[in-house]
Amino acid sequence: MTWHIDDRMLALYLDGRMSDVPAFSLETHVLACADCRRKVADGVDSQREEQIWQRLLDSLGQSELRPGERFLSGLGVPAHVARLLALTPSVGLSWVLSVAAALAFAVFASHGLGGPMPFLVLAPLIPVLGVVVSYQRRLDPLYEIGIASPVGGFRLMLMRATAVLMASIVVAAVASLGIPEIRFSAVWLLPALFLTVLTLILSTVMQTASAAVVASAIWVGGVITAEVVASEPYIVFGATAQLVFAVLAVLLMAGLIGRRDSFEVI
Amino acid sequence: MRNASNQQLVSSIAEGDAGALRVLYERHAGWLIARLTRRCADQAIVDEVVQDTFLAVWRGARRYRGEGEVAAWIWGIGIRRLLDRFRRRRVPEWRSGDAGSEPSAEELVLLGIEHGDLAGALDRLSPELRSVISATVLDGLTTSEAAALLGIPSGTVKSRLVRARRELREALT
Amino acid sequence: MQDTTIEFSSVDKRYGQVRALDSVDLEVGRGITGLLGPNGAGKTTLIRIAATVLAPGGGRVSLLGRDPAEGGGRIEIRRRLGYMPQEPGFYRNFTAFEFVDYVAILKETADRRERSEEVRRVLGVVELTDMAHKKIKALSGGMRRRLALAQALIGRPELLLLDEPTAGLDPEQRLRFRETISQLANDPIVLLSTHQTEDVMALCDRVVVLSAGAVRFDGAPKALAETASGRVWIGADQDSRAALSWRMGDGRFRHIGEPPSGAAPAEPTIDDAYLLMVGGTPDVQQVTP
Repeated sequence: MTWHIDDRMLALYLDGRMSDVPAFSLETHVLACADCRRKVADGVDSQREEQIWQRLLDSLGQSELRPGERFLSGLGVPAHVARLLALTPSVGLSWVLSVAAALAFAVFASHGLGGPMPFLVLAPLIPVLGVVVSYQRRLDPLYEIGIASPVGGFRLMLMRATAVLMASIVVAAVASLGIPEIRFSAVWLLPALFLTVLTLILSTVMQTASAAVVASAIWVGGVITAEVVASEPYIVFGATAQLVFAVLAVLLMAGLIGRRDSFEVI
Repeated sequence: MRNASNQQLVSSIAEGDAGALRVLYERHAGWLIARLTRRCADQAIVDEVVQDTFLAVWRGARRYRGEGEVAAWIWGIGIRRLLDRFRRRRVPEWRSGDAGSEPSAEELVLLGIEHGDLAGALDRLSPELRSVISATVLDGLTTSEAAALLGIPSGTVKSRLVRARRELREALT
Repeated sequence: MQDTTIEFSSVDKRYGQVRALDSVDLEVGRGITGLLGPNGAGKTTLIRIAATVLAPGGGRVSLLGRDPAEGGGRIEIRRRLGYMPQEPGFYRNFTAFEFVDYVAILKETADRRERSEEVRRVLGVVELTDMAHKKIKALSGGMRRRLALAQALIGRPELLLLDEPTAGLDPEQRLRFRETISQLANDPIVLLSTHQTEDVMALCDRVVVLSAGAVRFDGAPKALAETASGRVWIGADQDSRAALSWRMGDGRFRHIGEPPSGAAPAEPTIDDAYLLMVGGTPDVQQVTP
């Protein structure tokens, strides 16, 4: 280092009165000399530096928005809710991908078997699986702290279950475009809603995983029985059945709200 | 921590040490503000760019592989953040070229000690040639980045660089 | 019922055949109250009920003037309480900051800036500011314990429930912890459970001794020590007639219960009283006079 910045040069530079070529030199030099960096820093308004730092501190804490968070915020979900949900185990890329894979398989199976049944049976079970993954009460390390908070067990569960249901519906809707017969008729939607609420209300009397198994068994068993016994095919997806599912879903929802205490205490 | 090298600070930052970020900030925010101000008159923009730069340092500290000076790495981040702003919004012009008066005789002498005839030769280039040298050599931008910055096509940047180098070579031989 | 207390009236709790709490009557006000008892005494059960996380089997509970059995009351209580469970769980991939931030959202702090400031504040109180952005899996056990305390302090709760907060900490860590608790600004109702008499002596204005689900003592630490008055002796040898006797640092033996022959009376400590009360559990830390 053959030279360093002197006060006169510094004043010229900071005032913006230094011409190009000397400024090139100065700037190149600063990159390599800690002493001169300090000199330059002394000439800059320290209050301004401090203010920038304070604003930086704020954004530090936020850390990067997780991908799910950005997506949810984009949908209009309030930022803090998006954060709560994005930190949920299931509302994540890996879950979405495995669900997409499962549904893709169902779509191929439907084409192979000449009917949409595999897909129609599988689609309503997706949110059930999602509920299990996202709300394993005993396995959630923040379970106790969660229920001791005002958001508590029930509200948190509802938020997560809604997020899971929405995510499942979107993925299933996209997958269903691959099956001509059911492309825009979401006949699997009300059964999905019904099964989700059923799983949740069953989870108040048994483990979440068991509740999911029971609900799935009821569904698959019901569909098979209906196909064997009934006079017309796909009766479980017909107009009457849709109405039944809707009514049942509403009733079970009321029941779930009635059982909310079971989510609020251990 | 006060005596740690810049490299060591960056390693600590990569592990989530916010105290190390503070020390790095104290060392480098000053000159970064000054250098960016020479390129953009708007104080608010410079402040935001400095904030963004150190946030990027915080998040990207793991990616610093120890090549070259930390200060140069910081400048590379900072100048590109500034470039982003220029691309995204209509902002006051990039201050290129003559920010002030001609260099004084003393300055030229001083520079002569460091750079020899190069300084004089550089000074004799036309402003538009000097600005491409400034953008690519001094600020470290790529040809397309320099083009975006100066508002000219990439091809023009390249040809001006060729001319500038030729003129400098002629001036120095 | 005042709104600045924890009140238990004849509270029972059973787990199958086991009676965790047996007709507990308790009233806890401002200041630091220690819940002292051996493992299995029902301390965690009591704290959980006070934290609204567990419902009592029988009896009535009032927290800050509200009834936790009633939905609206429960939410209101939860807005004003902080709870540090015995084995807090963490999302290990979170940073310390993210973890406390998450709990702050659970405590309904929706505004990001406000939340940020509050998170920084509580991390400062437990001296984890420098570690704020490290992942939890990289933190030591003592640091995680401080982190668990930090989340309980979010929102400056009026009611602070700490379940075995000093368990597993070394003496220096325990000291720092006690300092932090005793310096809390808004003078909350603090109920902390412990099996260390040292914590009680150093920190608590009041102590409740719990054993086998029942309250054996409720009053000032000094008064607890005095319950052993006249029952503590120091002698040269061990004696099987004493309820309990052990060797002290200087080679002599301390006895509680009936005086062995040739033993001299000694000034009772909380330890002595506690041992006498709960029947000599080896968990209690010895303190040589």
